[in-house]
Amino acid sequence: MILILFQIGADTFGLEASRVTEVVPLLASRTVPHVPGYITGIINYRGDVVPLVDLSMLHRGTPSQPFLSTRIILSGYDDEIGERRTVGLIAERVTDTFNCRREDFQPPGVRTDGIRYLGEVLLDHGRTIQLVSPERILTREVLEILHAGAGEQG
Amino acid sequence: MTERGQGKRQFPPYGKPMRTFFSNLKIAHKLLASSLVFLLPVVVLALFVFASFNRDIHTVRMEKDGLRLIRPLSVIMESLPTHRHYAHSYLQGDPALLERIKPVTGRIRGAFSDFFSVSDGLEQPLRIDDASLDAARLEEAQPARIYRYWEKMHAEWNTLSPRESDARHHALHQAAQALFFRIGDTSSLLLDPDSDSCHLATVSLRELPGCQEAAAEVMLLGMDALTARTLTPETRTGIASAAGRIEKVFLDRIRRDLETALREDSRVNGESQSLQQALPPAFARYEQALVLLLDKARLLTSVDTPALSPEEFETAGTSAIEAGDALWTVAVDELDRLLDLRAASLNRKRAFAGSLGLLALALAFGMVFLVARSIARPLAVVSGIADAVSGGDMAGAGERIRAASRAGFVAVLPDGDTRDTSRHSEVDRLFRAMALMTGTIESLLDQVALTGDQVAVSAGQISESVRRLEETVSQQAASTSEVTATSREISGTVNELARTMSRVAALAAETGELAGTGVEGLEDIRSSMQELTDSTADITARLNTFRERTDMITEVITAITRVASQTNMLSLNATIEAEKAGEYGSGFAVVAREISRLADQTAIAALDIEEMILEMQTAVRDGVDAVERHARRTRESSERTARISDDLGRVIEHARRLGSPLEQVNQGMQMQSESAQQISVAMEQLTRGARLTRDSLSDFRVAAGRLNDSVTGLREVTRFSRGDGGRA
Repeated sequence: MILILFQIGADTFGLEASRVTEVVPLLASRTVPHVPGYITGIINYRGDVVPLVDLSMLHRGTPSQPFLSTRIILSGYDDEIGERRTVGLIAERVTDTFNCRREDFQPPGVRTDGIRYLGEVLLDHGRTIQLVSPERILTREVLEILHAGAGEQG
Repeated sequence: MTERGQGKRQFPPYGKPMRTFFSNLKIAHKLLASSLVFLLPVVVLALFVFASFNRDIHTVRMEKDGLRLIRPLSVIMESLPTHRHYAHSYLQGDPALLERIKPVTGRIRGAFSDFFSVSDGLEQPLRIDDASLDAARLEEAQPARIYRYWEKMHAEWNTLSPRESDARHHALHQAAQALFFRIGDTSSLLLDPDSDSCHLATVSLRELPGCQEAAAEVMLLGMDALTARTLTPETRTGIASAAGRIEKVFLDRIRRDLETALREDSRVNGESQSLQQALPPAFARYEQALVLLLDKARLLTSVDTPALSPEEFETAGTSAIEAGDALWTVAVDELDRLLDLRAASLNRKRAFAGSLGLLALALAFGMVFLVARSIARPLAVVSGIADAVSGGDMAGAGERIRAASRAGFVAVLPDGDTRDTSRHSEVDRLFRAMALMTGTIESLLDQVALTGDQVAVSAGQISESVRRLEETVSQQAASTSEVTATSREISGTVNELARTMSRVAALAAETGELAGTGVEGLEDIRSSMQELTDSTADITARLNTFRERTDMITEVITAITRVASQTNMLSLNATIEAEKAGEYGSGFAVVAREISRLADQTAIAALDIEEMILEMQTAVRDGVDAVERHARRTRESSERTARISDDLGRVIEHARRLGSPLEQVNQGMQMQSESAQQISVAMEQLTRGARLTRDSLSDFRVAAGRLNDSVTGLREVTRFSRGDGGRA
């Protein structure tokens, strides 16, 4: 399988390419008031309104730096009523892919109950890649906010 | 045959062609061959049964033929003792007997002609031809020889002595008896398989002739004795012995055998009415006549002078013999009738067995034909469906299946009821499996078509990515050529700067010399100062131009970096699409990753160039600062030059100090020149990267083309289900 790699701070994470719709550059987004800081705003992606989530803000409380390599990963997921939705994830250093096998992963070795989106890890030449599940990045709390917004729109 | 077959089972060389031939046969032909193989033992058994019936019928015929021969023979055997007796008496001097001997001779002669008329053609089967009799050491029993012997004896009988005549008669009787028993043996009469006819034959062939012989002996001996009126002891003994044989042996045996025959008759081939009715009275008459004869014989032998006339005794004897003849005729007639009955019964059984066998055979062939037809016809339909499926004609296959169910081949179950298939025949199950298979293939093809559409969408997206990538790369090439041009300009500017600086350095040196030479050179110094101020202004202007150029380069570098970033992102998206295209996109993914790597290299090279430019700008800023400082001092120096007449020493010091900043400027110029060279190297790298990118792009286009081919192949597969919409 192929991973799309990105960084939060100094740590490298991977997202399965099959779950990614597209990678687009950091677009100017319209801000939405009265939402948590990690929800940067909304953008127009091919005619759809897509919320943006800053992974760096969500993960460690500092916003992503505006580099050229800081990009939006568009990922699809099914909400609780089975409707297909898209969310944009802002991450740093979205420049590389990584070819690996499912069997190469190991358990993380540390309890990550509180942080559901962190999955198994893979060791590659001194670098540690941790698998991230896109649908779990969005916690129930985040989803409630996003879907509430969608409900008001729709 | 694989490895297993080589090790253990080696078929003979003709085994394989034969098995191939057999496996190529149609099922109907295979069944026919199997039924033929099974038919072989059945036919052999039927032949055996028929042969057995035929043998039995043949035996019956032989027995009947034997009976026909035995009738005249028994007449001969019975007449010979009478003939002998009459001949004996005649030869002893009783001429009255000449008249009585003639009818006996005639009877014997008639019997011989009867015998030969019947025996024609029967010598071989009954084995009484000369060769067979020779082989059995019964030469004297040859019929022709007996006849010749008889003719000879008959021709010369009245010239013989009584003893000679007796001996010849005895020999002739022995020969006839031997032939009689031979016929009884060879015609199987004595070995008859049925108990009634067997006992009847024993009576007719063995016991009754013996009894008749004994009765004739009693009569003839008694008549001799009565005629001679003397009873010799030999005669008495002979009569007693013969009478005793009749009474003690023959009569009992005949009675027992006849009773057995009558009793057994009902158990074999049904009861014969004529046998049951005719035999007992004939035997009763015979027994009665014999008892009368035996009574008279006992009277004859018990007293020396019996009150008996020879005629009376002869009458008793003749009546007994005639009764015996009658019984014999009845027995032989009944035997003949029993044999007829048996032959008829055997013929009936043979016909029954034959018709039963033919009926069974016809039934078996009918069954084989029906079974072969019931297998071959559905198989032909199934193979037609399979042909249609293999030819891709799914609509035709569905139509055939429906036609087959309308024709009643398949008991079509309601949908989903696939549990209990064991009740149905294998052919029905095969049909149902065909129908299920066809349905599954159709749904599979629909899925394939769907997948093909998805892949086609992915391929379109990839082509779009390629187009965008090409645009980006051409943009990059344009930027690169711009950078090259700018870099060339920088190089020119730096060279000019260097030339100017060396001129400044020369002027400074001259100034130093002039300062040393004294006040009179002050005018020269002023003008030189003015020149120095101008040159400094020129340097400042050129340095500003240089800064503008480097700023332009920075802009271009930023553009390159943006383009590289965009390339990187496009290759990322291409990788994602390749992953979604699955197996078809694997080659494409490799190319996308390669492009990503090249974009990264481009970005790094651009970053390197940016760093160098920054360094260069720093150096230029230092140079400008130094030149401005130098210009300020120059201005101060020229102001002071007006007041220099009093303080030349300070002027000299000023002029000496002037060397150090100029050295700094020179160093900066050196660094700029090096930086420009490094930029050239970086630009070469950039050009190489662009070329590699272009190469990769052509690979990329090939991969995209292959993906398109795959999509076309997928569309080709979907032709199965899109045949003519037969299912839809």
